[in-house]
Amino acid sequence: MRRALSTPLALRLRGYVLPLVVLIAVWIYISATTETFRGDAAFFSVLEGFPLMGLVALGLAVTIIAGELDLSVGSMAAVAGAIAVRAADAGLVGAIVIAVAVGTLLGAIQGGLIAKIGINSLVFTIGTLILLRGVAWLLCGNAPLPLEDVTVSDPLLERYGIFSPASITALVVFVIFGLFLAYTRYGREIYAIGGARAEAAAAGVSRTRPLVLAFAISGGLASMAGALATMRGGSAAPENYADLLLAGAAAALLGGISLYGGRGTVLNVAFGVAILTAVTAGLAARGEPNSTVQLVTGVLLLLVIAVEFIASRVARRSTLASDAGNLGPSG
Amino acid sequence: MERAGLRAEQPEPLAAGGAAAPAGGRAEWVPLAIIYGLLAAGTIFVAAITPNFLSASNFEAILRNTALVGIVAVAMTPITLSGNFVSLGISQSAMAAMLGFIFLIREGWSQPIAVLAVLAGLVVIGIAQGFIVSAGLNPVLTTLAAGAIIFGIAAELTEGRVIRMGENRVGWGNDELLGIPLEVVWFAVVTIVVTLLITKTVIGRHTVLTGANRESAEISGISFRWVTIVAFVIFSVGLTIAGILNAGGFGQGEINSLSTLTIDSIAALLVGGVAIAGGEGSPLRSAGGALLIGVISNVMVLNDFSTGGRLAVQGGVVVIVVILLELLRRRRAVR
Amino acid sequence: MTTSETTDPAPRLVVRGLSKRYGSVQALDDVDFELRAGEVMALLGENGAGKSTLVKVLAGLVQPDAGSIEIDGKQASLFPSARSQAAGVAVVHQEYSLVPTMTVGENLLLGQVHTSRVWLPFRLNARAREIIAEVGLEGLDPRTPVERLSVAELQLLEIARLLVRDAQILILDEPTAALADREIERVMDVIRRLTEGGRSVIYVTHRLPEVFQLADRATVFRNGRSQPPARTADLNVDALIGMMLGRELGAMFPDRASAPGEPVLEVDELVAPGLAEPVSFVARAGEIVGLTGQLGSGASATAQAIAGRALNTAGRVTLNGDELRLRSHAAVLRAGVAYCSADRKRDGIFFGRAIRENLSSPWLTSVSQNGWIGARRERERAREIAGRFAIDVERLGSPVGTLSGGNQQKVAVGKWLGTTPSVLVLEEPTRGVDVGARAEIYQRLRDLCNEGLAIVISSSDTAEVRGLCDTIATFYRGRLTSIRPHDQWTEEELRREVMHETAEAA
Repeated sequence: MRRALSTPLALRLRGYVLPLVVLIAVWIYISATTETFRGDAAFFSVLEGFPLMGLVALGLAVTIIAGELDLSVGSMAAVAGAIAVRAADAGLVGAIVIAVAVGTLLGAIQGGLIAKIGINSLVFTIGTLILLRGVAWLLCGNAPLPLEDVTVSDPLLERYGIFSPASITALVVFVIFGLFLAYTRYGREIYAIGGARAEAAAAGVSRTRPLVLAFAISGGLASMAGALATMRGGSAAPENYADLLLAGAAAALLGGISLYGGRGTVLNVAFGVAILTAVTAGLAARGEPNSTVQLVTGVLLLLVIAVEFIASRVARRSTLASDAGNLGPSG
Repeated sequence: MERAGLRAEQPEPLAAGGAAAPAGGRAEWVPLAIIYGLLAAGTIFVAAITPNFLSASNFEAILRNTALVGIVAVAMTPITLSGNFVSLGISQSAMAAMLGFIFLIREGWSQPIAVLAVLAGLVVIGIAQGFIVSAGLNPVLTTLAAGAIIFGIAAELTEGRVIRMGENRVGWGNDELLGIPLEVVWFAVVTIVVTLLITKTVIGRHTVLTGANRESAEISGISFRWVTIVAFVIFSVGLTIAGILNAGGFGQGEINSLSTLTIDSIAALLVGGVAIAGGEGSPLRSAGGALLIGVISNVMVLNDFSTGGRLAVQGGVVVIVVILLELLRRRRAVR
Repeated sequence: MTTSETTDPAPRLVVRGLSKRYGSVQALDDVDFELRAGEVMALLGENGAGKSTLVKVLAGLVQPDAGSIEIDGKQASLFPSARSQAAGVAVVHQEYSLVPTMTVGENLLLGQVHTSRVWLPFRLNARAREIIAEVGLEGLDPRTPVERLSVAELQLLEIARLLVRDAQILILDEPTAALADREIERVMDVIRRLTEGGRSVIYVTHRLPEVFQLADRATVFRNGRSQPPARTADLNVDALIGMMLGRELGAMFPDRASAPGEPVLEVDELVAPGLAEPVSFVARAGEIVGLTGQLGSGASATAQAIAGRALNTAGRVTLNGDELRLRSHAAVLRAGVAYCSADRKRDGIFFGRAIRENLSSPWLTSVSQNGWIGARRERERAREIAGRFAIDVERLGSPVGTLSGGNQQKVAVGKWLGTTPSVLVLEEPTRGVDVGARAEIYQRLRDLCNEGLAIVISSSDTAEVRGLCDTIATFYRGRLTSIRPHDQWTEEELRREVMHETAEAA
């Protein structure tokens, strides 16, 4: 039994057990205590968390896996929203594609500067957080910017059972990036520089490419999130999406992405998004204001980083203990 | 050096900034002076051609607007110097101090007691965060989470409404000391005090050494926990001062008051050249950064820049200064 | 070598006249080196003799000042490392290049130039299985995360990485330093198998048994110069050791004290990570005890354990009769045991800060009043310490980074004087220090001893230990093999103890 639990497949699955259990527990609890969160309605609510918070969490997770952190995601989403509205003449899909393209490019530039100059990503993205927020204001014309033709985004208001066009798009994106991160060389390089940067460099992994990719993905996904949500809402507001950083980080970490880098998959992010969305939906259904949602998110974030920290200390002690008996001819 | 198996230690990747490069030395400050000189010259030039810039009342406005940000940036500097990055919960904590003071005054508490109570509250929160961070948890995310929690609690308590001092409104809101507005006096006081603490006290020296090289500090017997907690306490005092000053100035507040404080103070720190990796910079530089941003903001307002324009320029300045300083650091380290 | 020249295979790698100078140090001085196809060539020499510089040149990390390199008869330039790799040279360094959170299969392909963009697990693992079978890891599932491997498996995996690149010249730098006997056998088996396939191996090591078991020939470096390679079949331990000796010691070492005083530090059955057996010894006031051994010997582990830098220790260490709480470095420091690690850049100095601040860092509180730094007292005491260590007292305000390596080391060691410790524990006290500064440091250490301090030094430099220390303990593979006063040691005996298991150890 012990051997079975240690096979590579089992090890991979072990990383999902805890978030899955938490998700089920949370789901059951909220369903039990909230009338509007049951059955199809519950599934729909949770899936609706993916287009906005989910995509941002995914992009953020990729930068965390790479051993960095992109603090500018909220501002990037706002910029993308404004771009999408301004490009509405290109049609719904066209506008979103343009916004995503711009976001990806901006992200790639950020990644490139961080890699080439060697700036700490935290420092740099605080600067771009401010800069892009300013850009968002400018693009919006310093006031909420409504769609000229609100019907352009009508397709986004459809609903197919528990799905909507936005959530389907988000899920497809999740699958694509899941495959990318797991099965391509470039995806694995992102894990390498996050898991052990010095060793990865010693092994010959370029530092630039994975960083550029990670931030390009983060920028692109945040833009997609912002563009989708803004088009659905019908108007771009310059101060939008400032809370997304907290929510995205909490979701990624709750699902099992490791703050220390190099670990975690898209499935982990999906679990985390589901958990946080369920919690948020439960609170919203009870009429709790946004500030309470923030509070709960903050508490969850604190808890999860505390738990991961304690777990890593415990693991460290046990590894070093076995080291003590490691040397010597007895083998 | 022994090589003991694969490292089981998890390095903190988000803490991996560039190593602090040698500071001081005679020729070292020349490039730095050039950068700031250019920045200042550019600003002065633009300011000179801006109408209404060169007036006493305008300078006073600059100082007033910068004062609060300056106080917070200077008070946060020990945290950054010690290698603990920045706090992302600044706005919320200052808001809590502000609302707490307004509330207590409204309830009829005497001012000194109210000040002490608020101070105590914030110091306790600060120590808690300091403990958590010194244990090893990521400082950025910890303070982000703490800020959200404080925000949520404050929202619960105030029910989202505006809180007013009402008839107990304090009179010193617009006071001046020798013709200098109160908040500017406090800005100067806080800057002087924190600078003295950093340069002349043992804990201050320990703070700087910890940020320069944490392992060396530890081997020398310097306690990272102690340094971190003291840094957070100093920060909490600064937040209290800022919050109470703002309360006195406006007489009322709500949970979204001071919402731009986080961004503004961090920007001030970065533009001042305080290295987030720790060990490089000083409270004076943070104060300077705040003033520089204040002047730039002022020039923009006088030139009728929109909100977006001002934010974009502020962000742009931060990004450019950060890049230039990092390039400078790399060049000095290589030499 | 001459009689069988006609039947011996032609050299695959020929190096002639290689020279490299770093500042005032001639790391390589007109070095010749050769390597035949299918052979294992051991590379021996003290630290600083030039081995690692040669390895760096071959790996393309460093460009030589002069000399030529030929591979398979053709001129070759091996700089930068991409060219070296293209020429078929691959190095396993002492630092790991494996990412612990990723699988065996992924690590094999990481950073390799010619891999496809899509890494389907099926193909990836199939290919991985083939490669790791070549290094004796047949049973290992390539999907295993690397963090779960044993140290030996890690080492073999590093070698396997080289095979992916189809390297023909493999350079292994102390590959068995952290391995147990059985694991060493495994690694040596793999290396033999690799050479059967025609590959050549350069094997850098300090362990003589392995030289004789594995290598066909051995090249010894001394003072930056190489000696002609000798067949291991024609050599024995003494001959090999004799080839390695002979560095000028001369007047570098100060006179010793007459007689040491009372025991200050008593180490009783100390057990720590890195030690295979408990260690016991005593350090007296006025005495310098030298713990000497190579990488993985346990000398460094012992020093660190005494200083409270090891995590899981057992046994008793007492200072003037009081037991030390080895779990807490701060407690050990307070009790009076000061520690300097082997890597001053990492944790010995504050690179960007002033020399004075460096010097005062451990004793700042003692010149302060109520938390306020007594600037004048700090300056005075710093001047005093600097003066004793021959550091320019006029420059104490400059950043420590502006000092030479030797002077930086003096700062790293000297700062402890202000704390009046009872014991000073130093690791590799003169690593990266030029000859002049070395002599000064040795003199200061002796002066400190004469004032009653007990000093424990851990060093891989046997000449240094023999010249400086009063009592010398040798370590080999996690055991203290022998401990005797300095006058009972010859340099050959010292070398033998740290490189070879003798009848005494068992």
